[in-house]
Amino acid sequence: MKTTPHTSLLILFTAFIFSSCGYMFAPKYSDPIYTQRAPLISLRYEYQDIHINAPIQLVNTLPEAFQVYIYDRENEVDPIFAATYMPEEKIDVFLPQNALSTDKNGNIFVIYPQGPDMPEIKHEFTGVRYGKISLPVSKIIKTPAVIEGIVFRRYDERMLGGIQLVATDSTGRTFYTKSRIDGDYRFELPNEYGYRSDIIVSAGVGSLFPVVSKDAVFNGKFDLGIDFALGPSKDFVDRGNLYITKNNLTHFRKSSANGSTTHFLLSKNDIIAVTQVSGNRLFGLVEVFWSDDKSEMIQGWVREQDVIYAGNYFMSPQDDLELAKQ
Amino acid sequence: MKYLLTTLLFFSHLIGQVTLDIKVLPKGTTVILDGKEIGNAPIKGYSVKPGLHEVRLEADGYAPATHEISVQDAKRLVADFILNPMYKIKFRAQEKGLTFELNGEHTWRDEKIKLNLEAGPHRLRVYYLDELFDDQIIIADRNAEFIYTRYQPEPGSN
Repeated sequence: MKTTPHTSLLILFTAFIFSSCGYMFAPKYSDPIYTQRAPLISLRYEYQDIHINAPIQLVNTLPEAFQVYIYDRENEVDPIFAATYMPEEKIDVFLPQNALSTDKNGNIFVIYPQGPDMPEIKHEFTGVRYGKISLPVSKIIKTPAVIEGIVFRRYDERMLGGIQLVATDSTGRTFYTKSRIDGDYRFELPNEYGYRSDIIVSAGVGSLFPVVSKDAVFNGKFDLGIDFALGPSKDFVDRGNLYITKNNLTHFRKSSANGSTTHFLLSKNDIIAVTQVSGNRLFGLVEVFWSDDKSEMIQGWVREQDVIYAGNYFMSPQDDLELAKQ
Repeated sequence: MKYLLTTLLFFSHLIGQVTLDIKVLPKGTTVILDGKEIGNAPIKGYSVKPGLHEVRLEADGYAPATHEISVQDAKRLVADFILNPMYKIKFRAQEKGLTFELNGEHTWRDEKIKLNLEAGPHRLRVYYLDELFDDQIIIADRNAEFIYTRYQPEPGSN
């Protein structure tokens, strides 16, 4: 059979239709078919760190090194961080994110200076998830020699505030402080005083109370407690009207006669409980304390011109004590 | 007082947030986080709290994916996904009277059918008169025609 070119084309076209469009009438499955295979995934976390800066101030000392610890306040046994820093190094601590407690003051930073008489320094601080924390300056100072105690009125044991106290060593170097409203006082003397025993502490300087002085003997201790009872005892106050001497070196004589024997010389502000008056001579008692709880009353005479009437300065209510501090 | 409370709420919301970046192939994939559409990939700088989150990804021509991410407390989490494409497969059987089952759940009896298959391996089981006739793994890796022929071990192999 002879075929024309048109017939050949028709056959080719028909063959093409049947071969490539064989699925033209094929049904389509209704649902997509999944493998239930998870997609490829990668997770990358970026973490920050915590940078703690702990500045140090050395005050007349140079430790050999610093031991630095950071604790969670709930666990002061196992440190979160521990390291040794040399004195010339800055104390910078780097921790991973979330290493610290974010509770208020939930972490403790401790520096142990390595050397004699240098106490540890602690800072409580609140942590952050990440970022910078600047701690307060840590002053590295040798353990001071501390004298502390209370000042009170002997008459009724009321605490005395505003009383001047002076600590003086054998070379005349002096340190000053005043008692607080609740009678507390505190001296912080340089570290070397902790090994000395030549310090005298006086209370009541500049007040109407007679000055009381006591020895402060450290001898290797760094914390002394010394209390001061000022003024006359209750027993003494009840013996007569109270006068105080105007000046130092006031004669306290055995009899009223001029030139009679002098028991001893009174100091300014010493108190006399006057029981009799004879002309311009006053007879009374002076209370001498051998220790805080041991005293003796000695009779004698003073000239009226050497004393002033003290009224009830030493037994007044607390509010009137301002008078006594003049 | 009102402003103070608002400010406190704002800052308490920010505390403990992790910045989440989501990159997906293909680009433009719809990202649904914990049931809420948050945009089209790539997503950058979305804040989430640490914990378990569900990410669903949907794109035309790709198998949708749902993934649970346990977000740790960090500054940033970058999650990269590659979705599996779907392929159009023309399926043809050379024998008649067979029943085909794909992945244990999709069944047909047609000799010719158009399938929309996720890329990857699929388990094809063939039944004749309800008897298992053939069981083989087919792999969809492109748009193609698949002509089913019964699996016959090579001579000599066990």
